[in-house]
Parts: sequence; C-alpha cells; structure tokens
Amino acid sequence: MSTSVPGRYFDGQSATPHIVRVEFTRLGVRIDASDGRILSRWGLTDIRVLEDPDEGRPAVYTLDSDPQTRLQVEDIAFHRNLIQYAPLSAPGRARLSLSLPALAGWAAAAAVVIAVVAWTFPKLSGPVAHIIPDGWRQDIGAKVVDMMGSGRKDCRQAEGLAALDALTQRLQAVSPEPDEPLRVRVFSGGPVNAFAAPGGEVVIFEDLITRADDPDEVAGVLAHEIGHAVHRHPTEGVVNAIGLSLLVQFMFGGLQSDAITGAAAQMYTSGYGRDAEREADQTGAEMLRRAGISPRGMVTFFERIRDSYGDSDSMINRYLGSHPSLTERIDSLSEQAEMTGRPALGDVEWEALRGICNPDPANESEG
Amino acid sequence: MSEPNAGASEPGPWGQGASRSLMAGAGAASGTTYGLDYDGRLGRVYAIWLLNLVLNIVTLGIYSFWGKTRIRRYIARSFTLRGDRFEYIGTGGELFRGFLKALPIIILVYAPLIIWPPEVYPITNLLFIVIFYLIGVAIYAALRYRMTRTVWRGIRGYLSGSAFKYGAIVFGYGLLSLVSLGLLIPIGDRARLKYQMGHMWFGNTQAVFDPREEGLWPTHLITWFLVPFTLGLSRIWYRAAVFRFQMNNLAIAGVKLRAHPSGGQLFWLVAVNALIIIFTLGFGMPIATQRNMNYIARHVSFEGDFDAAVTQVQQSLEALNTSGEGLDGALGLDSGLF
Repeated sequence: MSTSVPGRYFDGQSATPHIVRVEFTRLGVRIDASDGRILSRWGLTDIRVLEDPDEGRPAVYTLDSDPQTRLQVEDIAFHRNLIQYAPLSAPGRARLSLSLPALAGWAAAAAVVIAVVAWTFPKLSGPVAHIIPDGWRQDIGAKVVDMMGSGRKDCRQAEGLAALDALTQRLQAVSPEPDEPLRVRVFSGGPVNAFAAPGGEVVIFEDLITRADDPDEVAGVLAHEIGHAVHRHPTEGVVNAIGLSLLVQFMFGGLQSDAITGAAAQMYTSGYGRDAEREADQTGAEMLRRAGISPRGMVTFFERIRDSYGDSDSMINRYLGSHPSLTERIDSLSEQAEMTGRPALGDVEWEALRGICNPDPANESEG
Repeated sequence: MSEPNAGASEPGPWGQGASRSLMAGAGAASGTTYGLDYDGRLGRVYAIWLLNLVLNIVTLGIYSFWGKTRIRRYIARSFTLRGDRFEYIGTGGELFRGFLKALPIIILVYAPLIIWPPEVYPITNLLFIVIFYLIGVAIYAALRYRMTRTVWRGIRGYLSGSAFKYGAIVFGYGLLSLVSLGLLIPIGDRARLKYQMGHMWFGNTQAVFDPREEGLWPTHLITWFLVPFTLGLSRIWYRAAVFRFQMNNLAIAGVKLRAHPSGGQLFWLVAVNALIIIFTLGFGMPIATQRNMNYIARHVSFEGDFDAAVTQVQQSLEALNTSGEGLDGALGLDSGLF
C-alpha cells in the first residue's frame, strides 16, 4: 500500500495533462508530479468515483469539493483499496456487465416485458373501449369517417336513403343493443367493402351494393358491421392503435420511431382479429334471423368474394384485413343459421338502394 | 501514458466529441494530424439499450431521460482524442427537470391544435409558425446543454449566443428556402452553421468558423435538380457537403478540424442503417448507433500544433455557471420532444 502507481491528472483549470504517481497515505491520496513535487492531496471523504475501471479503461476520480478535477488510474488494486477506504467513492450505479449471460438476461427480460405488454394490451382495450364516453367515440368516429371519405361522395339520393334507413332500422330493432347510436352511410366508389368506425358509424361503399346480387347480401354485410359496432370493436381498434404507438415510442423513444410506430401499428391493427370477426358474424347472423332475413346473403357474398379473390391471398387481406379464412366463416355460418326468411328489401326499394349515389334532383333544386 | 500534451476541440454536429490519439509519445510537430478513436463495444451498447427498453416500458417512458444519459455517458467515454477520453457529465435528473419545465410551453402550444377543429385556420396557422420557431430555439438550447456537459481533460465545452436568435435565423431562412422551393437552402445552412459553430467554446477558447472552404452550391444545385429522379436520395450527398462545410471551416486554438466523408460513404451509412432498423423492427438500433459513431471517428480528425494549442486552454467560468436549466430548461433542453 505504500507503493505508488502511475496515473494521469488534470487540475480542472488547464487542459494540460500531468503524468503523476499516485500514492495511498493514511490521510488519503497523494498526487506527485514526475519531478517528485506534490501536486495535490485528496482527502478520502472527498473523493468520488466517476468511472469504475472497465474493459481496460482506467478508473476516473474527482473531488466533491472540486468537481472539475480528474484523476485517472489504471491500477485495479489501487481502485479496490480506494473504494474500501473512501466512504463516498461508490459511483452509486450498478455496473452493466458485458458478459454473454447478462446480455442474454436483459434480452430475455425485454422479450418478456414486450410479450406481457403485447398480450395485455388487446385484453385491456375491450374494457377501455366500454368506458370511453359516447361523445368521444362519436368524435373519433366522425374523424375516421371523414378521413376515409375524403374525395368521395356521401350518397344521399332520397329514395335510396329511405331504403337504407328502413333496412338499418329493421336490423337495429333486433340488435342486442338497440339503444346504441348507429349511423349508416354509403360512400361512392370502391372497394367492395364496408367498415364500422367508433361511435356507431357504419360506411358501405357503393361498389359493394352495385356488385351484390340481391338485397340479402347487403343486409348480411350491414348486419356484420352492426355486429362490430355492437361489440365496440372499432373503438377497441383505436384504443389498440394508440396504445401500441405509445408503447413503441416508450420503447424506442423520440421522433425517429415514427416510422416504426406507423408500420407496427398498421401490422397490428389492420383488422380486429379472428375472434372479433367471428363475434360480428354470429351477432350479425342472429340479427338477420330475428329480423326474418335469410343469412344466406351473408354466405353467398362471402362465397363470391372467395371465388373472385381466393381464400386468403393478399387480395383478400387487402379488402378484409385479418378476417378468418372465408371458407371457415362460410362453414360456420351455414352450420348454425337457418337459410330462410323474407327478402331484405322489396324490388322497388332494392333498385332505389342501388341508385343511392345517383344525383338527387330534389336536393339539387334545393341547393 | 505520454508527457504533457494538449489539445482541444469540441464535438461536431452530434455534440459527442472524440478522437484517437496516435499515442505518439513525444511532441508532435505542427501540422500533425490526430484522429478520433471510438472503441465502444456493441455488446455493451446493447446491454444498456435493452435495459433502457425494459425500464422505459415499465415506467411508461419516464426512465428515458436516465436511459438516454446512460447511453451518452458510455458513448462519450468511448471516444478518445490524443490519449484522453471524452466525458458526458449530464444527468437524467437534469433532462427530466428540463422536460418538466418545457412541459407547460409544449402544452400551451400544442393543446389548441388538438382541441380546436382545423377549421380555425388563422389561429392554427399562427401556432404552426410558433412551433416552427420554437423548434430552432430548442435545438440550440439542447446543443448548449450537451456542449456544457461534454468534458475533455477536465475542461468543459460551452455554447454562447442566443437560442432565440438562432431560432430566428432558422425560421427566417427556413421561410426563404420554402418560398424558393428549396433552391436557396445553402444560404440558410451557411448562416445557421456560422452562428452555431462560431459560438462553440472549449474552456475559455472560442472556436473560429470561417466559411471559405467547401462550397455548398455545386453539390446543392446538382442534388436539388436530381430530387425528382432520385426520390430525394440525392440530398444525402448535400448532407455530406454540409458536414464537410461544418467541419473543415472550424478551428479552435489554431487547431483545424478535418472531415472528408464523401456523399457515397454517407449514403452507404444511412441506407444500411435504415435497412438494419427496418428489418429488425427497431431492434438493430444499437448496431446503427455503433455504425454512426464509427463513421464519425473514421472521418473527423484534427490538424495543427495540437499540444501547444492545448496548453493555452483554461477552464471557463462561464461554462461552469451554465447550469443548463433556467432559460434553456424552460425551452426544452434535450427533452426528447424535438
């Protein structure tokens, strides 16, 4: 302990380095210049460790009373002595080990936390979706619909609208939640699809109506979307997307993560998931049955999409997101539903609905 | 270790300083070049990053201030110039306090944008102007924070000048760039860098930024015209030109900085990093960080009578008194929000 070790010293005033010998004494640490002159004496209670010796890097010390000064020592025995005798010397932070097991440990911890969170989030989104006030849901829904409808016409031809409203009311009357707000609209153009947004907003695209063989097919799709609305799947989807993007931001931090956030959120929320689709199918079929409409339309519509696009290729995914395979849904519907009922709409109303995106002479003269 | 030497210089654009000592023992003659050395290890960066990941999730992001600090400390320590390592002495607590102080301003500015419908054009547009201005202010404040917390040989860096003035420069020339459809971008970059680099200090010694070398115009014009044909990728060559401009016109205590990365090298760095991050869903971030740091170390060097220059440098009281809070803190420091 009486032997001195080499070190490098900066006085905190000048950038000139001093090559020094450092020696432990009863009072603390003495720092000697190469010519033997005493450069500084450090009291043990004043010394603070800035960096532990690490992978061949020297330990770095400073003084609480003079935090600009620096002493660098490579000798590990010196460091051990120092932290043993100097009460303030603990750097106060655990060393992060580089060892492979430690690294694997942290990676596993990260994986577990991410898995737990990814598993918990969707479970939480249901309850959360049900406590969000109606006003908020409707605001969010209106924004989603505005976004999806930009550049499209909100079709309001009078007779067509009347037919749509009649069908909607017939289904809503037998919905499990008849008091939930519900607003069904038709937007011009394609794709052959429909979607539900938070707050009971349902949008059917014109192409879906014009490509449908009969009103029962439209009724089937409408019932499916109302099924989503009843179970608040759209709100769950929004809650999930927001939660996920927050999660990714917490993980990766800052703005650089925007691209990752976007991609991940897209991948994660491009559909409601298989369970939600089945739930919407079942609720929809039950509503059709209670309204006296044959669920056959729902089945034939799925069959036609399957025949045009195949079962689960990219085309289907583009239109239906992460829906379960169509064959599975067709089978499941065919098994449980009686395929009888009155037509969803009379011939005149059906023709009117098909023309809902035509210009409305009444509106135009008004406006 | 070798005898007394000297040297000075501040971190470049990333605020992280660094360099490699050639460990050449005795006095270097004037005109000698000293490189930067980076010896940070990927395993260590990953260990810190993964720990941060876990703690960020568990603490809903609050830990990020401490996590960021931890990464910065390790990276700064991994840069060596003339035998001595750089140091980052910022703390997570400082960053967190800066964030808390900036929060009211951020809420004040952003809340109306969320509450009011976008139809209230005059007000929302005005707010976008305020935000655009504040981003410049915050960038400068954050740079000042990092400069004052970057230490080499016990001497702190410093950034003088006014964050508000810098914000005005960025805002004014930003508008000019916008109106000229980007054609006049180099005027703004030149003015911005002249202000920023010229206000950098190492201890009591102010940097000199004399923008003569490395003209920006030829690269700018060519890459600007190529934007429609390259989806904007040609601009990476301009970014490289800006980096060379920023470094090669900078001198401190008579020591000149040198950096000669080509556009192709920068393109390679950026493109491969992007691929790594995308294909690992973000989990390759530490690899990209390592690549960036190695790139800096490989390209930045110092030229001149280094040891003689460094003996003149003394600690600056001003740097010591800059707590990085107060005004800087109020404007976001490095809150991670900008």
